[in-house]
Amino acid sequence: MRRAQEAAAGSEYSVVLQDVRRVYGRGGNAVTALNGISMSFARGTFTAVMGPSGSGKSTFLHCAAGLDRPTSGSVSIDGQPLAGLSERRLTELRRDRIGFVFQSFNLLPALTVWQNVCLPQELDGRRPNRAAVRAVLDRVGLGDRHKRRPGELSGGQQQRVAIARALVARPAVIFADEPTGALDTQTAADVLELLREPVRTQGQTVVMVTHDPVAASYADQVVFLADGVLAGSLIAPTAEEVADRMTHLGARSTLRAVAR
Amino acid sequence: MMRLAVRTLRFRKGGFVATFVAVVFGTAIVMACGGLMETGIRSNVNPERLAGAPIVVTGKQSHLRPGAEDATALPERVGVPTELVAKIRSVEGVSAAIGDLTFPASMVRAKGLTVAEGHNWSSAALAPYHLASGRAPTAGQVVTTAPGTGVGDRVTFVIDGSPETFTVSGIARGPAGHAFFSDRQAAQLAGNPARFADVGVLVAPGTDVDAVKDRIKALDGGITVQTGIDRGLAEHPGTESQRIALISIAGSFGGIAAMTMMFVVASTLALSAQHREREFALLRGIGTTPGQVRRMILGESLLVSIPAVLVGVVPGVFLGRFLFDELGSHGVASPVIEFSQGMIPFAAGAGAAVLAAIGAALIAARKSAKIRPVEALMEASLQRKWFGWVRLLFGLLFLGGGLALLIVTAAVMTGPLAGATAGPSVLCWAIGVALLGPFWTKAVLAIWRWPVQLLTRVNGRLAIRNVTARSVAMSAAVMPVMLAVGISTANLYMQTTQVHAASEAFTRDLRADSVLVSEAGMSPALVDQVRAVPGVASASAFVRSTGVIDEPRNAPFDEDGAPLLGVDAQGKDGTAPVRLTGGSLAGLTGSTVALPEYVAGKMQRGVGSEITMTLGDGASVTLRVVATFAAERGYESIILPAELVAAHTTDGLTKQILVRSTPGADARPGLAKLAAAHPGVQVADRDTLVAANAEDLQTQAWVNYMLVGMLIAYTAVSVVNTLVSTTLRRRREFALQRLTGSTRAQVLRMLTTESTLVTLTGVTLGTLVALACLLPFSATVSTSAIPTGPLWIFGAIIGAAALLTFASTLVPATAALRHSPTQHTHTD
Repeated sequence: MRRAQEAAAGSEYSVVLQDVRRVYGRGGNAVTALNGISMSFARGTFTAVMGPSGSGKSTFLHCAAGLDRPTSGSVSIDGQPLAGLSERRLTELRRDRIGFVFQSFNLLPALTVWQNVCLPQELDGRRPNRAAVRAVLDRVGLGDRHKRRPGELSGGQQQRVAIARALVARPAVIFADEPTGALDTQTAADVLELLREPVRTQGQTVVMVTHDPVAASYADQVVFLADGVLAGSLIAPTAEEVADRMTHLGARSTLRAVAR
Repeated sequence: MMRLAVRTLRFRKGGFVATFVAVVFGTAIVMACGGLMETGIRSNVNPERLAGAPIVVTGKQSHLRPGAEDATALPERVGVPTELVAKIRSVEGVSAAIGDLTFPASMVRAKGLTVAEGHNWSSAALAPYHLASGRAPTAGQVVTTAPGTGVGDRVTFVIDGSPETFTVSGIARGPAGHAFFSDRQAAQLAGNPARFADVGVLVAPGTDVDAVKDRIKALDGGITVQTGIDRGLAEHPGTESQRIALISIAGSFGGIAAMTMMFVVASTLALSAQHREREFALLRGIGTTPGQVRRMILGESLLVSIPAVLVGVVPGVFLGRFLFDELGSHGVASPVIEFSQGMIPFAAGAGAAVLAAIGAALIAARKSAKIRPVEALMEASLQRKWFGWVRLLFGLLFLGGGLALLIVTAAVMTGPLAGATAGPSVLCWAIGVALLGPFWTKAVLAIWRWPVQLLTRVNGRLAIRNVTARSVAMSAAVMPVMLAVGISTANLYMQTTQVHAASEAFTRDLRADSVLVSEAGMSPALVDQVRAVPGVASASAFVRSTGVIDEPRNAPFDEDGAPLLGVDAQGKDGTAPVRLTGGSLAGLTGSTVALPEYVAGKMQRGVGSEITMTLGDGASVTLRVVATFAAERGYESIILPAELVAAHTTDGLTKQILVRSTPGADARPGLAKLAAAHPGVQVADRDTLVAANAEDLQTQAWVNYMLVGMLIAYTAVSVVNTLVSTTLRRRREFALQRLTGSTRAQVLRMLTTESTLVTLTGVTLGTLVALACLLPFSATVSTSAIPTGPLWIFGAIIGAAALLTFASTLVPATAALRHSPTQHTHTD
């Protein structure tokens, strides 16, 4: 499936979710991770999805990115609904339109940095543009380490390689699952800049799941999840505003500020 | 995808070592068996004595029973009637046709008797033999090839049991072991002068040999015409039946090895795929389609197996030759045949290995290609679902097959034939159990839990919880142990039971106290002399051969023919190994026969009726039934007069005389004196007879031991691989255990308990599988359903299984535990 550089005509939303529900297990053991979420992510925006543990953030991201099939509801990427696609077509669509950065274990240990970054394009049967790859690696600051294997890199460096891989294919949307979870503050700041920059300069859409209010403050808008449903949003918040809202989410809404 | 496969292999060499080793061994074994089979099919024997004749005519060494589909191989030399020589001589293109009379003539030397063949002098032109000194022999003279004799010496030959002295008239240069007499004297000395052993045909130079061959073939249906390398078979008439034995052994051994290779490669590949689950999930997550994942796994499998095949060719060549030499020295294969291993065995070995690798890769890839990316990335996934309808179906099919074979073995097969169905039944049961492994593992574990729990405390409890929760992984470790224990126990005990039963059958009916043996043969006069020895109650000549019952057509013997025993006429207290149920052996002379009761009943021929038989050399005789006797089902033979049987064997000799002493008397001194007077005759007692019989049976057992040994070595690879890699994968778990308070020793003790459980489960399942095969086999072959054999064999098998399991678990665990437990954060 050859990639069309232009997005499907007319849609200004990269990702659209409609009444998505995801239930695990059956009968008495059933766990409802997502309980009817409807959301749209506009093109060229940087959104942070936040919520306490168990709110369904990772599940939400997996469903939105086509890595998991929702129990009911629909997901569309660039106007293309994911529902009726076979496993193979879905995979090709993902390869083409979506970049994903996992929280850990992002890279194939058998391949070098360069080979890891080029992998999605190779899978598609395309020859990667060497100049573009080099440019991306330089941008993430690993241009001189492209022959190393993941085992020789630190956690932060691995994360940066994963972002490079997501960026180089110029996908319609990049999903990132807790990308700064295991990083020190300086590296975290670098990584977040790397994610924000293409949004400004190239109209990239980025959706990031995080539990860190500081990371969320880099985003254009922050969406809150609690107990599987949407629980509000903030536009261009500061870290303090985010932290404050987090304290009052869901069942916590009865908490009062505690005087120190 | 191939590039990805190459890079993965370079990085993960260790994970594929087991697959590599398995393919190397599998290729070598299949190649070697292919070579054995090719050798058997070609049966190339270089002609020595007949090398000078481009065309050799012999009798047809097989007989087609009327109404049967397959011909029976005749073990005795059939020969060519002398009248046919004139006809051959008159065929266009033939310049000379020389008949070759062959008879046993043993030369008496200072150090004992040398067995040799005597011929007519005119056949010396066929080798051709050249006179090194002296002249052609006349009456009373002989030309020898033996070193150490000179012209003019007097040498004694034992011909047909009687010694005769000749003068050496000349020494011939050529293949050793032959002596030449004058044509007329040879006709007198030969047992059957009306038939030539073979006829050598010479043609004028430049004649088309194949055309002459076809013309000679058209003369008579009862002859075989050989040219080229096939002429060698004419010099060794017994090779036909040995050839069939070699082909069938090679075929079954090779087939079992190929199947085992597929099993081992499939399990090693599946295991390595299972351990790379996270990697496959990541690949799927970043956009690899299921088809691409499948192609990658297939590529990895081929990249490992093709070099392994090339490496395996080297031992395959040597293994084939080694096996052939060993089989030859143990009498299973004819040692005169040349060993040949051409391209076909190589292609067979390589092809089987590559097919196994491809099949295994596709099976392993099925699960991996379908991984949902998110499922495998979750930390808490404990084990895969193993159950699939396809797997259940095949598992039930194989179990059903094993059950069917069990019923056939118990109800239909008789005697030694039972091995033909009991052997494959082990494999059917084993594969059936292996396919439904986790189910059986859980079932057996439920039984062994309680005793183990009683004996161990904390560590035991943890071990039991581990194996119960991880029953799929544990089953993967238990199955190779089950396979190894099951196959080895079944095969080894089938062997010992069979040997014991055959030996029992022999001993039960053996009523001789001593036996006189001579390779050179003994004359009928000697039998009378033996009867005259004080202390001897009865004596009888004893000859063996094989024959075919032609009329009536429903005789219950298959294409292998009926074993024939030749004994002298005797009263009730005779030495014949029979228990009479009707008639009497006193009238066993001339053209008479005694039948086993079961056979007589089947053919509805009682005492006084007639049957028609073809004897070992193709001669047809009509015989009158004079007696019936009881015989073990499956071990029946037909009893004929000794002179009749002996006259129709290749050598025409009586090589054994059975002697029965009167109760209380000892005939041995008298017999020894008699034996001393006759060159080449020896006296042996009853125990020697029994031991000699047992030794014959042991020879066949040896082949089985070889097969079992190789299979065990092979499945051991699978056991070691599974346990070592599973243990290494659990490093993080051990680290966690130590961090919560276990000492290194406690972790090791827990692992010991787990290994004990794996061994117990594997041994239990393996023993059950073996018993499913052994019990019906034993009930059919011998009198009791309990297999006989030394218990130490079973002990050794269990010990070896335990040793392998413990070593494969504890050694890598000790290595893994050496590091500090906090070192393990991200691993792969």
